[in-house]
Amino acid sequence: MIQSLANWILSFDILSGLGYSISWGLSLFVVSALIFVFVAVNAIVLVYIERKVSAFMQVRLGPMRVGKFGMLQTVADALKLLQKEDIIPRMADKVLFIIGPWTILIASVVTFAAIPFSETLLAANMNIGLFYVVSISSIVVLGIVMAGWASNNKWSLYGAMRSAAQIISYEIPVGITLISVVAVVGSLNLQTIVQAQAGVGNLFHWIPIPLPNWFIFHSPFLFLAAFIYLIGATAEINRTPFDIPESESELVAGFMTEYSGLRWALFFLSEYANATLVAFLVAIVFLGGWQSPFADYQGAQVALAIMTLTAGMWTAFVKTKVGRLSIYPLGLSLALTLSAWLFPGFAIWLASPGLFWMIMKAATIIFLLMWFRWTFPRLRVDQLMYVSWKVILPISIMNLMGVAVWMWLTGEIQF
Amino acid sequence: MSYISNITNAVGTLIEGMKVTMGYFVRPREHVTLQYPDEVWPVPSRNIGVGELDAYNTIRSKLTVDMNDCIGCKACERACPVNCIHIDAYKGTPEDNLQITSNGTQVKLLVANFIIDMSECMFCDLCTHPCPEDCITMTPDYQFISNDNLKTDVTPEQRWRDKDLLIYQFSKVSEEERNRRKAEADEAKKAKAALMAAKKAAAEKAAAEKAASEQAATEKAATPEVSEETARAETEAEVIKPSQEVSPAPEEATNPINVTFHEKSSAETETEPAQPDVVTEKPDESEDSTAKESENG
Amino acid sequence: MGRLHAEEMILNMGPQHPSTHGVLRLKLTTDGEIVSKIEPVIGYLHRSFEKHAENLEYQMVTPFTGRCDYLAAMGSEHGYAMAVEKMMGIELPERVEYLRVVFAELQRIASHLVAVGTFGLDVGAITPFIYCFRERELILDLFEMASGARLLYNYIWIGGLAHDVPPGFVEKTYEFLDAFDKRVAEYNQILTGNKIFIERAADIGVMTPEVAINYGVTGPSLRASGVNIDIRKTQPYSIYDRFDFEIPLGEGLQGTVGDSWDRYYVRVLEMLESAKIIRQALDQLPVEGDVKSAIPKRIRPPKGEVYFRSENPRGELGYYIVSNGKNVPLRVKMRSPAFSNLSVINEIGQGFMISDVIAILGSLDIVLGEIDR
Repeated sequence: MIQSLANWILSFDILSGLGYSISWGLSLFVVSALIFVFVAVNAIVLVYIERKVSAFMQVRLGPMRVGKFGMLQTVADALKLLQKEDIIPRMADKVLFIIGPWTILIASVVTFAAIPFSETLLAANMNIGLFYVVSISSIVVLGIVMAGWASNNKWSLYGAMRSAAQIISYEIPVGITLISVVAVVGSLNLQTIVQAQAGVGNLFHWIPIPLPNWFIFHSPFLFLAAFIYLIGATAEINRTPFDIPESESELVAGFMTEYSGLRWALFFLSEYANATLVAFLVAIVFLGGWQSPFADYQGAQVALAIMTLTAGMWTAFVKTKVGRLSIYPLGLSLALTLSAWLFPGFAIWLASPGLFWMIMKAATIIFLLMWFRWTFPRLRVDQLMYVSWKVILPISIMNLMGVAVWMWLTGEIQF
Repeated sequence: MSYISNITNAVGTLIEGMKVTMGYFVRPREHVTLQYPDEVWPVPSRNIGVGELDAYNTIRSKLTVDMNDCIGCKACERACPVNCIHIDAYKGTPEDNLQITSNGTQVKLLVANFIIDMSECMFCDLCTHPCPEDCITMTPDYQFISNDNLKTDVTPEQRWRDKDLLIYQFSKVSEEERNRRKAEADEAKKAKAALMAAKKAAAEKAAAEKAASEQAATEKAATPEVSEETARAETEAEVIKPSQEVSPAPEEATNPINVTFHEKSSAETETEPAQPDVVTEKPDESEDSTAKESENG
Repeated sequence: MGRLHAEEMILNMGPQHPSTHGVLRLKLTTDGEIVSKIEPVIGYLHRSFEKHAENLEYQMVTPFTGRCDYLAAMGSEHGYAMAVEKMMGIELPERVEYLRVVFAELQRIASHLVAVGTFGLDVGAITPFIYCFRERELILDLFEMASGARLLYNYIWIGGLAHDVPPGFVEKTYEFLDAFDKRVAEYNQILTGNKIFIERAADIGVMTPEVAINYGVTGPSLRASGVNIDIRKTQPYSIYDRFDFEIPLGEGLQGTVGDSWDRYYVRVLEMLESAKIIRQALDQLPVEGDVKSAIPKRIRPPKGEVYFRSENPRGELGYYIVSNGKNVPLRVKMRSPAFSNLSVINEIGQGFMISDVIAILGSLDIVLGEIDR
């Protein structure tokens, strides 16, 4: 993207005198700014969505007073945080205290450079993209430890220590599950991984259900790997049930205890940036990235019709059994189906790959993360380690071997 | 084997929990949130079984008093565990234009000042029950932070900060009249105190004389005389405190707990809270004044 | 080379901490995450209830009793009223007794809902807490209907009730009870059976029957250890002997008998038993009867002393009242269950992690207002 932007800038007669290096630097700046803006806006939107989702799950309404349905609530909150007094505790290590949150934020923002949002929307097409994302995102733990240590607060220190132990433990199973995908593709390039999932094929190679060629449907092992990755990633981004570094009821706020105002907002920003990153990564690696789930526009029409039918049956079933259910899901799918059948252009758009599908998939994953968070209790430190080392790690290693065997069975690789 | 069953059990139970939250997520209309300033909790106002009046409501909030009905018996003041009610009642005169309450009782005392300190009130409802006229009530008005009280030109924020702004005064009497009555009462009190001092001096003198002369007969004669005089002085005073007519028992007066800690004197706590009979009957002593009042009204 | 030297760290948990259930301060001596000593520091919520009581008339003490255990004000008032009635030898009308039982048991459900919900909150599950509070609101609506207040009622008076219940109360209570069982099933689905929750609560803070009895632990925390002591059954007061209900005991379904999960689950079961009692009481409730008929005109118990204990949601609530024949009690001593229940935390919490201490504290279900009085 930087390359093409630089070329585009040079294509103007007036700007052609800039020279390639200046133009390249300018494009780099523009792209970085775009990513940062995306992260900031994303956090504001996600905080609002999270508050609404949690409220609906908890028979509440959530923010309702700022703007229509409280839509501007998080904007107001962000403005409030920016205006707050900048407090640095007297006994804190000032330098680390200040650079801690920035380290976390930078680590979570720069990972977006390698994420392919669509076929062309990609800041840097790296051949080691996956490795880059995984390695850079683990710098976050450095910032957390900095913040926890610098606060000179026992609760912060506990949070930091827990966080370090947790993130390091979960790096391993997460890495191994990603390697099992890399084993299938044979490349670390995220764009290549997405492109390898194009088209429609059978579920698990043999079962004759036409499903997209996504890696989650590649084999039972990768199906499991997707969930293991999701669990490990949840732990890496410190969300419930693995939110022990900032566990509110135990450690007050963990490593964030002493922070306020802008610095605290940075923590929040990076938390949601990380969640988004994980969601994108799941979408790219297991759910086909920016690929459309439909093979062609007829496939889209048929699939939507099946979805509407299922939604109708489910609604009828719940209506008769429980008696209370909103009919919005049914209505939405019905509207989609009708428009897909009536306007083939819409169906064609649905069947074409693009940013829309990427965001839809990521949104689904983020919703799943929110669902986890507002349902589960929190694990204890040692249980967290147990889950990591004794459950997830063995399964992920078995998965890796299983994937190899599967590929040999299906003839994808030969010896 | 237990390893695998553990994992499957974990996944199964977690999914069970997720079903519940998703169940609520897809039907968000069941929310229990009340958007407070727009929607308010319905306050049912009804009689819940005490008396005929519709005065006792479901919600116990701001304490108010109907000054048209108050007879100044101070039953509520005595019943209050936190002393948040202060009443100044003076003996009524024909000029005061005293009314008949809605229960049909002739008001005999001029209630010059009825102060309810809502910053002290703990909403226990104990004051409303002994009231013989059902005039002090807890209203369902829970937003009384903006209602008028002693000072009206203050913002809600100031009210929160300043406790004095939660003191509510109920009175039909003008400020001057109240001050005049207070001064009169103080004067009477002073006079009484002077009288008491004189009597005491006389008693002491008598005692000294007695000690000097060592005559038992004079001693016996002097004591009842003193108590009679005191009682007379008290009834003459314009501050009517029915409870004080019960002379305190000596051992209670010396009880250090009662005297030092509790504001009320032991004599006041001695009289039971729910005893309106004493007060309601008292004004009926002189019937001619009743007739005069009704003519005026 | 000597051994690696590790220092113990003293960690101040509270008085301002999200999950100390009020203003409790715990001085934790920690070795890493392991807690080797727990020292509760109390007194941050002291409001001198007992001294107040020495200076107020008997009836005036009632609102203050509710302020001690503010999550179970009806229970506190019930115990105090019964203590004074025992001194004065007051015979209550049937309707009063039944209504009092209804209110005490509704209060037990409300209090246990808070206990169950906040225990979930302590181990990180936020949503069950809000579900529990939704049901508690319904109970508070019932209380508001009867007494006019939602938290501190001053409803159970010496010798009767402040008012009779309004028309429609009984029907509304039945309505609540009908819906309640389903709600409890929901809690079980989302929290009780949850594997993470079980891992967090089972085998944590195991209280053996000996320890429980030695420390004077009472209430659901004691019964979770398998000791079948419930004053409603062993020494039936009021009219509890007329109802058919079970005393749920800890069975160690998920771990050891007397662990945090048992303490939690006993409360869940007790809510259902209380619902059963309320149903029976409402079925038998006499329609006629003046609830204020037995209220004495003049509360002046004869010289003497009385100790009366009742089963509060948190355990055995005792009132020791000394009367010198006047209208003001000479001494009112409150034996608060939460105080004894808290004192056991050092015994059962040693050797667990900080997260477990939070869970144990949550499972003991303390109310600081009652501990500090």
